[in-house]
Amino acid sequence: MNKINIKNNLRQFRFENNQMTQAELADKAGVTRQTIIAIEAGQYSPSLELAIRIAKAFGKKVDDVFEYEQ
Amino acid sequence: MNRAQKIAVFNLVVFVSASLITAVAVTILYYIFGWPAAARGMGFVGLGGLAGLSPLIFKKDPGTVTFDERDKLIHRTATRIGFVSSYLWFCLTGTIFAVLFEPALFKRLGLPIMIFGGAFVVSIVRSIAVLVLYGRGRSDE
Repeated sequence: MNKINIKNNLRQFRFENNQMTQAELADKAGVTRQTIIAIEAGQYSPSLELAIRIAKAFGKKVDDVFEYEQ
Repeated sequence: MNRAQKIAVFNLVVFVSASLITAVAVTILYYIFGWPAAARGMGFVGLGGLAGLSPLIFKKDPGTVTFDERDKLIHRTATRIGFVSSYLWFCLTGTIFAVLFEPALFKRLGLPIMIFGGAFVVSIVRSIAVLVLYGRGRSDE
């Protein structure tokens, strides 16, 4: 069975958005900073709703922030 | 360490301590007075009630969001693991105690150990699961 990974560009987009901190992103997305840390490190895959909220915080599409890799 | 992790550590310490103190008390009373008196050592199980103080001791974390979808998932998974382990506990003790105790003693000592022990197993395993699920490979939380 192939392993499915969802990679993300959170760190890159945070720095592109005036070096947004993890806490600021967490506030905008409505989650805890620990969750942003876990997502950024690839240890937690967010729900679709949260993925959309994170993408909106950057003003991007979900596809730009999260990449589906097989 | 967030609030949930602090509560898990506190509960773990309380329940493990209460279990050990109870086990020691029952063992000592058994060797001095025999089985019927040993049941009185079960009173130390009440120390587990200190876990109820954890929400008062650990105040909510600062910040607008304190509990999100990941926390919910972790708590749900930990609770499931806790209850599965309690099922194993009941199967194991039900078999062992039936062999170990005669019917009268089972009612007096075996049954309380099964019931309170089951509750303790749920709490201990759940606390460990919460810590493991939060802490996997991270040092910056």
